[in-house]
Order: sequence, then C-alpha cells, then structure tokens
Amino acid sequence: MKHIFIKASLLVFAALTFSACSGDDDNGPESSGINIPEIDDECCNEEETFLAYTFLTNGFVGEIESLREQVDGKYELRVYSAAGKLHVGYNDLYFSLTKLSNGGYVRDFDITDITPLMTMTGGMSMQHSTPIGPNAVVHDKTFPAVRRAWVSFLMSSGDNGYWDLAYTLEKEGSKWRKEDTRIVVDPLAEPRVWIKSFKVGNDTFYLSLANASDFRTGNNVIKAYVSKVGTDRKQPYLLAPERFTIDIYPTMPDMGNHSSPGNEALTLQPDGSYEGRLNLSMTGTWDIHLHVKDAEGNSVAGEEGLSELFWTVVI
Amino acid sequence: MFTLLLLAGGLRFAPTDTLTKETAIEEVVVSAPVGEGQTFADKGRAKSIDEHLLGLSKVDVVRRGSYAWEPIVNNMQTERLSLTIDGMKIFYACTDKMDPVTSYVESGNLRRISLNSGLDGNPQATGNIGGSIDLKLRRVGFDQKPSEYNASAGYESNGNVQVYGLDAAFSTHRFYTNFGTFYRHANDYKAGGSTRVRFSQFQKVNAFANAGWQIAEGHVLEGTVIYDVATDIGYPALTMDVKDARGFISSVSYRREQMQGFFGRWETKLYYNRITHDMDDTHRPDVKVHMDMPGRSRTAGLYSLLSGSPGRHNLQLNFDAYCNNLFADMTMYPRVGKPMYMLTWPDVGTFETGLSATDDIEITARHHVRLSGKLSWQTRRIGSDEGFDALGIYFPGMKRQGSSLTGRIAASYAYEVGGLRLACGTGYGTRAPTVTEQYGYFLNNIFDQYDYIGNPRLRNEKAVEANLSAGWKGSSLELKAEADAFFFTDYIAGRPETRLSPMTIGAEGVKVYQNLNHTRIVNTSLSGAWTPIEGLRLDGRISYSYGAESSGRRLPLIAPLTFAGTLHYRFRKLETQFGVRTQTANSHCAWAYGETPTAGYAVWHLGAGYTFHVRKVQTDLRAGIENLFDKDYSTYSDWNHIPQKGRNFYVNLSLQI
Repeated sequence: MKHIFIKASLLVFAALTFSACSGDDDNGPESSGINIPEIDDECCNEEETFLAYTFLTNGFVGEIESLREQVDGKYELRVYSAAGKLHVGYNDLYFSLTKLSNGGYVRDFDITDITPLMTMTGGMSMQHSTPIGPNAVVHDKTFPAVRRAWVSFLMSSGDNGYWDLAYTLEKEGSKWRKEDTRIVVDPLAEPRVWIKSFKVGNDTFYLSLANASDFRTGNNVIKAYVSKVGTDRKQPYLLAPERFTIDIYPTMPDMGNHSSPGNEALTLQPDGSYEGRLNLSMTGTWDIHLHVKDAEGNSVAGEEGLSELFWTVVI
Repeated sequence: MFTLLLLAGGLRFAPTDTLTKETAIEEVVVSAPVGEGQTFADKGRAKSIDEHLLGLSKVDVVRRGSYAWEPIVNNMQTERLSLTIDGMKIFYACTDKMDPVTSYVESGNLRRISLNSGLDGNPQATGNIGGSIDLKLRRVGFDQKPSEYNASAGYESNGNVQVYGLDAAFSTHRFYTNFGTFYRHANDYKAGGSTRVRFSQFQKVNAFANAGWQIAEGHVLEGTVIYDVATDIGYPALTMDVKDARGFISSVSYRREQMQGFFGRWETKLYYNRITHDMDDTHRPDVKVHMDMPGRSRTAGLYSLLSGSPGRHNLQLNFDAYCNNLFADMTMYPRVGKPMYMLTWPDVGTFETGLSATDDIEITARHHVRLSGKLSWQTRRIGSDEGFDALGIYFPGMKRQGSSLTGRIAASYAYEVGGLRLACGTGYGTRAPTVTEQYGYFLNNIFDQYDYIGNPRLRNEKAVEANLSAGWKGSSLELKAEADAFFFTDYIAGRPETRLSPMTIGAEGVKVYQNLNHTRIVNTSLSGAWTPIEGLRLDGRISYSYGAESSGRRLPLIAPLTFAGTLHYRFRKLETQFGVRTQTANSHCAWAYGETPTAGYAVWHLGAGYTFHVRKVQTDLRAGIENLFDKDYSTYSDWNHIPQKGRNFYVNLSLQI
C-alpha cells in the first residue's frame, strides 16, 4: 500500500510538473513528510517514472507476486506478465526494480539466467526446460525502468508436473539469484496453439508464436521465435543459431479452409526474431500452417499448403 | 434483325397510361379508381408491385421467391437501373439483392409506375444505363372528391394468398390527405404438378399517409410517410430467408405552381428513408454454419425541380443531392469455436450531387425532339476501419475514399404523320460502380456458386445507346417495331480469380469485379393490337434480345424469344381476357456466369372482371385462373430455376364510396 501511495503521489506530482514548468520547488504536494530527494541518479526522473508507473498499472500487465524478491533490504524486484498470469506458449515477462527508501524505479539493472524448469511427476519422472528469449532488454526506451524477457512454455502446470522459475538480478557488478520458485502455467483456451515443435535430424526446434493476441482483421505483422533444444534438456532452450524461412498459409478450419492471399514468409530479423506478414480476412479461428525451410531453401518441416505443422489463433 | 421484326407478327400488349408522347417513356397505372382501370380482367388492386412492373413492356423480373422480385429493364438488372420513389433515391439493404426497393412500397401507395427506357432518364436518375423507374406516389390532390373510401380484398388459391387494403382520402381546395393500410399474406405456393415449393411464404404490412396544404394560391406544402414491414419471407432460390425487412420512407416538399415567366412550376423536396433487413437461416435444414446477415441503408437527400413550357419547349431543370450509408455485416456461428465476423458492406458512405436538364421540343406537329442530360459528382468513403483493413488484404495500398464524375446525355427525334410514327434516338452515359461492385466483401452468389469481392479500383462503366422505332396506328390495327442497342466499354462484371480462396463452404471460387473491354445488349420487339369489332381486341408482343461480351461469351439473364398475347372481350360492364405467354428454351446461356439452360414453355391465363354499383358503392369483382394447365416450368430469370406458380385461382373485390 505504501508503495502505491508513494507512486500515486509521484504521479500527481509528475502530472503537475508536466503542465507547469519544472521548477525548483520540489516539495511534493501532500507528500506526507516523505522526503523525495531532488535528484536520485539511480532512479528514473519524474517523466520516466510516470510512464513506467502508467505501463505497470494500466490493467494489461499484472504482477506475479510469487516471484517478488527483496534485495539487500534496499530494493524490491517485481515480475509482471499479461494479467499476472502465465500460459502455454509465448509469454512476455516484465521486471522492475524499486528502491525501498523512496519507491523510485531503478534505472540500471539486468535480469539474466532466466531458468524455467518443468518437473514431471507420476510415471515419467524427469525434468526439462522450455524456450526462452535472450537476456532481458529495456522494454521501452522512454522509461528505462522496465526490462522485458520472454518464456514460451511447452506445457501447462497440472497433474503431470509443475513449473519452477529462477532468475538472476545483476546490478553494478553484484548478482542476486532468485532460486526456483513455483509458478503456475495455465493451458491456453481451446483451440489456441501457439507453440509447435519440429525435428531436423536429432535436433528438436520449437516455434513460438509471439504476438497471437495482437491479430486483427486485415494485414498483420506476425512475429515468432525459433528455439533449439540443447544437449541438456534442463537448460533453457535458446534461439536457434540456424537461419530458417517459414512460409505461412492461414486457413479457417470452420469455413472449409478458406484462406487469404498476400501472406509473407517469416524471416530472421536482426534481433533474433522471425517476422512476416499475415492477412486475416475475418475474425474467428485461424490455423496458420507452416512450412519451414533452411537457409538453402530446402524443406525441413511442414509442407506447402495445409501443413500438419500449424499454430491456431483466435481473433 | 429487321427480317425477324417483319416476320414476327405480333400485337401490342401494354396497358400504358396517357403519357405516350415520348418513345422512351412508358407508364403503368397502379391505383386506378375502381371501375376505371384499363382492363377489368386482371387482378386489379390486389396486384403486387411486381406484377404491375411486368405490365411494362420492357420490364422483366428476377424471381428468388414469391416476394420482392428484382426488376430487369432492357435486360439489365439493378446495377444499371435507377429506381426512385417520387424522385427520391432509395437503396436496398441486402447484399444478396433480396430486397429491391420496389419491395418497400405497396400497390396502394402508388398512382403509377413510370419507366424511362435507356439513357434518357428521369431528372433524378443517375447510373441509368438500362432505364429509370420512378414509382409515383398516390396523392389525392386538391379539389378532388371531398371524401373517398376504398376497400379491397383478394384471395388466391395457390399459396393461400390473402390481400386486404383499406384507405381513405379527403380533399378540399386548401387541404388534402389520404392514408391507408395494406396487408398481404402467403403460404408456400405449389409449382405445376402440385409440388410444394418450400420457403416461399411471406407476410407484409404497409401503412402510408400523404397530406398537402395550399398555404396560398400556388404555394403547396406536401408530405409523405410510408412504413412497410415484411416478415417471415421465404426465398426458395437462396439458402437463407428473411426474418424482417422494414422500410421507412418520408418526404416533405414545397411547390410553387403557376409561376410567371419561363418556368411555371418549381418543386423542392427533402427526404429521408431507412431500410433494415435481417436475414434468417434458422428454419433451413442442413445449415453447415448458421449466419446472421443484417443490412442497413439510410438515405437523406433533396431535389429541386423547375419545370416550364415556354413556347415549343417543355423544359425540366433539376438539382439533386443525397447521402447514403450502407452497412452490412455477417456473423457466422460454427458449432464449436468462436463466431466469425466480417463486414460485407464496410459502412460505406456515398454523397452524390447532380444537375440535369430535359427538353421536349415540338418543332412542328410532325417533328419532335427530346434532349436530356445529367452531370453528377459522387464521392464515397469506407467508414469502418475493420472493413477497410479487410479489403486492404486484397487491394494493398487501396484508398479509403474515392470520387468520380458521371454523366449521361441522350437525344431522340420523332416524326409523325397520319398514323405513322418513326423515331430514333441515341445516348451516351457512364455509371459509377455500386457499393457491392466496389467494396462488397465475400458476397456469395448462389446463381454461379461464387463468392464476390468488390474492386475499389474499378473504372466507371460507359455505354452508348442507339434506338429505333416505327409505329403505325390505323382505325382497327396498331403495329410497332422497336430496336434498342447498348454498347458498353468497361462493363463491370465478376471474373474468377483463381488465386483467391472462397469463404462460403462449397463455393466454386472467388470472383472479383472487373471492367470488361466491350459488351453489347440488343433488344428488339414487335407489338400490335387489333380491334376487328367493337369490344374485341387482340394484343400481342414478341421480343428477342441478345447480349454478349466481345469474346462472344453470352451475358446472363438475357431473355430468349418471348411472345405474349391476349384476347380481350368487353361486353358492357363485363370484360374477359384469355392470354398466353410463351418463351423458347434459353439455350444460348451464359455458362461463365453460372447460367444453365431452361426449357421453353407456354402458360395460359384466363380472367374476367365485372364492375357494378350497389347504391353508392362502386364495385369491382375480378376472378381468373393463372397457369391454366398447371404447367411445371421456370423462366430464364428464375434464380436457380425455382419453379413458377402452378395453377392459381384468384378472386378480388374492390369497393369505393
């Protein structure tokens, strides 16, 4: 509650200073005696704070409270995801570090070694990880308070197993490890499928569809990641070093496999993602059939047309 | 062609009104006073608008059921016609053309239907390459009978059709009003051979009111309201029916009469109409995916018409403008899974304004010239982001708004001497694509089983018309030969696009509207009337039409050789008629458009009418049999070859005080 109050005060304060000139008179209105330092280099300025606060409280993201961590009694790290939940397939994770003394958002920190781990219970006792993105990046340069990373879960928590997540906070050369913490991964609502796998030789790859929730009727950017399972299945599956091209063929299973024209294959982008263009001619359930080719153009998974390798999205 | 005209002996069958001055204009009276119709032997006041339209010689209809037939003029459908109600623009709201605007009025609302053939349109008409139909409202007017009451009832055995109408009219020198209500109900009809045609029922209620007030001598204010509700309408030719189709039509106008100077009459009218149309497939068996398909059409507009007859001229100058909004969407409900949604008319707003002029010049008693022209500017915009984005898939980079200039010009000349009348005319005109042709989105056409997508990059369609007619009127014989040819460039038609995938389950593919290089439509007819003795008259009309693309490929819905003939006999207040309508097989059909052959047929009808007084009540009693021999047949324009009605007995009674 205290943090919220402080943030709310900051918000009011920031709002006031937007409309007025940024003056020297820093005694925040109704600051309840809390001393907000004039300049705290470690923390974001007022505008950045306002933007970060707005982003983290806009109702879209919610905190995964089990992953909250106090560091050295000075900071608190919070982890957010869409609605504070995790589901099978691609999930964005957001991290923010607040300074306990003044509630300010810390600018410089890194999140590394995100390690999701599934422990299978019952008959087949084993452990494996799942695709993750590279280290966390600044989510939005206009408010460098929030880091973003992603995890794409292969399966949901349930009777067959449970998920743990660990991560490392790095700040000014120091590291703190948040050890394995139980998280809940929900199944995706039927008939959605946002993660698929294929094999090339002995290698297993995962195709994670990254922006399934953004699709609308019309022309869309489609974004995905290709991850490769390493020798140790307990280690996170990192982005595949291979370069693929992924042809897409969207169809509507409920409408006799009606399709749309003008779709563009997903190709590797400088940031390691794959991007293409996806045309959806109406709302409803769409199967995005995939045909994966290697750098030489050889088919390695799926096929032309109604490939058995497909994601399913609902718009 | 002329050999054919000369060989084909035929007689005229056209209950036209008085306005026969111009070759191009033909009228049919809808609401004649009881006892004063042109013929007593037809269905009279119980006739539907569609049946009245068929009384115009150049009009045929596309039937998708027993209700709401789509007019065809000169073998052209709605896209190439102008349809107005008393000069008011009104646009149908169904993407599948289930509701031509003629379905939103009733016979009781109208005084007559006026048709201008070809490019010589009425002043408010735009896009009228094939012709323009104006439905003239039935206003009682000033200085008529102080009060008049009408009642009519009709029954038809086939389909248990019931028709009831009631109206009243009051008139003084300063004020008039007339109002009434109409009800129609039909069950499924039976085709020849007593096969029931499922989903051919309908029900309709209509109410109208007109009022006029002469504020001062020559200054007239008038108003009209029509409310029309049709429910539970079956369309046996389609896969869907209609739950509810309603139209609200309203206008107010101000008119100056007997003005001094060049123009004697000036009328300005403001109008608004709204149509809501909701399709329904819930009564159909084997529906794979249930759909909701509502459509909405709203139009507001005005026109201002100056008319005058200075010297030998008969001038009309008209300014008009309207705004129309068309919105239609479709929600499909799979048995499992999320409903699918799309906009089939993406909230399209159209603004159009135009100036027109018409002059009938009587150079001498023998030489007549008629000139008409109109220039219009139109702009159209897609209102819905979602609809715009969806079309953008098919037309990347398309613009959201577009405008175009269209126009028409027509000239005709007539020479009259004795009973002979020779006339020729020509015209050039363009039309902008319709909303369906421009922005329609996956509109399934059951005729050819294709899904249609509009094309925002269409050019305007252009046409040149040439017509000729020769008529002779003797003491007992009338003969008339007519020919009318239309040569199109950039003719708009759907063409298969094999790269696209259809949406409708089971569809053959997708067609996209495109401009075809050249097409032509030629219509010829020979008609006549023979009155050998007083009271006996033989009418007949034979017509032949041809329509093809430059490749030789035939156009669809072009009538094959058709003959209609009627023998009338009148004895005092009793009139009887016996007639036939026959068509040869439609074998040269337009395969590329999904048309398949129909067999030839001949159907006979018989009717009688008697008019009499019971004290002050003028009474009309009419009875007859349609399809006398219960022939099982369908015509070239019966959508999906749905059968026509089998034998049908009707009886109608009209009373007037």
